Amino acid sequence: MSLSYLVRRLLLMLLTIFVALTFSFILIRSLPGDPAERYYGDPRLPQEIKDEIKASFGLDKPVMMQYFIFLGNAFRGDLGVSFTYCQKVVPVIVSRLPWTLILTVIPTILSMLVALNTGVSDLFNRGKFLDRFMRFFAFSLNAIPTFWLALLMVMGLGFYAGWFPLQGMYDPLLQSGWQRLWSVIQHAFLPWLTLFIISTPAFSIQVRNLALNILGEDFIVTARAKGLVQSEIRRRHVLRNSLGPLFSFLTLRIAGLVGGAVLIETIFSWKGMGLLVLEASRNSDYPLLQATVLMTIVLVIIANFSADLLQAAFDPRVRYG
Amino acid sequence: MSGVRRKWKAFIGGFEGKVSLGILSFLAVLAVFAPWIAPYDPYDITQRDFPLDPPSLSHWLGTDGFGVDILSQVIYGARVSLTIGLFTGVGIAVLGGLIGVFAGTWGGATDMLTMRVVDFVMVLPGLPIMILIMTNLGSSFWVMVMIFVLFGWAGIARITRAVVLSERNRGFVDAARCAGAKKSYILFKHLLPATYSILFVSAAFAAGGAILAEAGLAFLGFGDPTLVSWGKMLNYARTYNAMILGAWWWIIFPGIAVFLASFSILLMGVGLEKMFNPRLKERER
Repeated sequence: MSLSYLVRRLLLMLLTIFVALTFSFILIRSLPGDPAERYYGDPRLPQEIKDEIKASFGLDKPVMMQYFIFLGNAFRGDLGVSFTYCQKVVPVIVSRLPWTLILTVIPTILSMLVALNTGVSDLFNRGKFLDRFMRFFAFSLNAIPTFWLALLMVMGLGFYAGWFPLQGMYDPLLQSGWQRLWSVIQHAFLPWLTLFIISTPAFSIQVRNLALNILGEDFIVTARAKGLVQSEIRRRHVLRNSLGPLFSFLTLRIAGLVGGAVLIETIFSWKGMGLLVLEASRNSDYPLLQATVLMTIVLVIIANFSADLLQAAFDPRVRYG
Repeated sequence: MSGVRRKWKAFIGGFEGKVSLGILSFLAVLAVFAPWIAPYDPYDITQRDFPLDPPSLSHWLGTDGFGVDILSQVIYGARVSLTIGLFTGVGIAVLGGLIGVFAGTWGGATDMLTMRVVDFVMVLPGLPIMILIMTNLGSSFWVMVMIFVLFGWAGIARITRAVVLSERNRGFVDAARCAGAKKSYILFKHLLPATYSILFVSAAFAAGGAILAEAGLAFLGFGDPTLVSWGKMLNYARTYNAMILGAWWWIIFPGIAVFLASFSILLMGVGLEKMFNPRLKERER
């Protein structure tokens, strides 16, 4: 991978993050009302004390000045103090991040592994009943609200069958490491299953269509002409050539799920970043809300960046595009 | 006119056209004539019965935790979902279409900048940002439509631009340019009409997505507080523990309604796609 490509992409990513920060500052500061109002408590507070509180937050400075201070703090990893947690927001958010990743990354990778097989075999059976059925099924899944499917899962497999815990992340009474781990797996199973059911058909179609494009390439014809067996062509030519775009698809999908985790996390009371957004919104904890959304955006942008790099690493043609 | 009729025949003759139009017109009739069709008025607090009644003859789909008839709520809920879908679909098609056509026609720096913005908007995680905005602006029907349009135009702008770029070099555009036509004339007379078919298809997909997004936001408690909607029913079902109380009907039926609405509109998108572009069928084999 050429250095100039890397530098160009990196600069573009930094620029995007900068734009996101700027927008978030404008959005928050354009709201009506005094941001320090929450700290006044009693409205009859004398004006001098109000001014003092304002000054302690730097709100007495001109807006441009505030903007630069905000940018400087943000690049040092300081996005303000949460009202509800009474501590810096960044550590709060970072402590939630692994839980969201556990919830989203594992089912996504699993369904990609399954889809690699089903997608390619779909392709070689294309036009037949199974392929048509799979595509219709995948299409119908697009119309099912994911959160409703999750509700049905909890109701059917959790409540009525009693196989899985209804919500939470682990049983706090279990102290030892392995028991704790097993408890987390039990609690995570239903959300994993939901995401797996939603993702797999979509991935499968994606694999099928990518591979379909590759089938038209000359080297497949050559491989056939050489007399390679079908399974060999599938493995060595079709599958391997679709890995590049698939990796970037996977990365973007995970990024999207982190953003969309709010719904799933709400249903399972899974204390990840998504639920944090909702909690912050309910408690009117504006600094926490803004910072969590901002961190989600930055995560997505970084994921996007690495997806581009992966694609370029897998496929030399991309770099010159 | 015969062209339109032929298109219509192609649309209604296919599986997608028939099924989607069937479900959609059924839902539309429910929405429009809700006060006459629904057995009870969910907005009228005097028309309440025992809470958590299972489905029976007097309440076909049961009652919720407040004693409100579920069937009537589902019928009235169609109004919110379908109008959100309609406004969002039209809004996104107009905004995205215009931006895409402008970027494609003007080219150069305008085009590059627009496409960078499109890239940016497309990767934004929608749901958290929508929550951030709705926490600040409050949740109402129009705020929701506005947010959906603001987050949805980018994909359509990109597709429209691609169409314009391929149309721009066709003979009739060159001819118009040689004849001294202004850019804006070419834009509205030649390039914009070429994008209509893709805009219809995109609008359908956007509308289907908007119905799902509305249900999701309402489920999280950001629905319009003055309106009965399917997402809000599910929100209440969750917050008032419908599952633990065994009221499965409170959870299942609103979800089926959301599915039917978004399914039929998405299917309509597929049908329109096939109608405008018959070659698609061949590619699938």
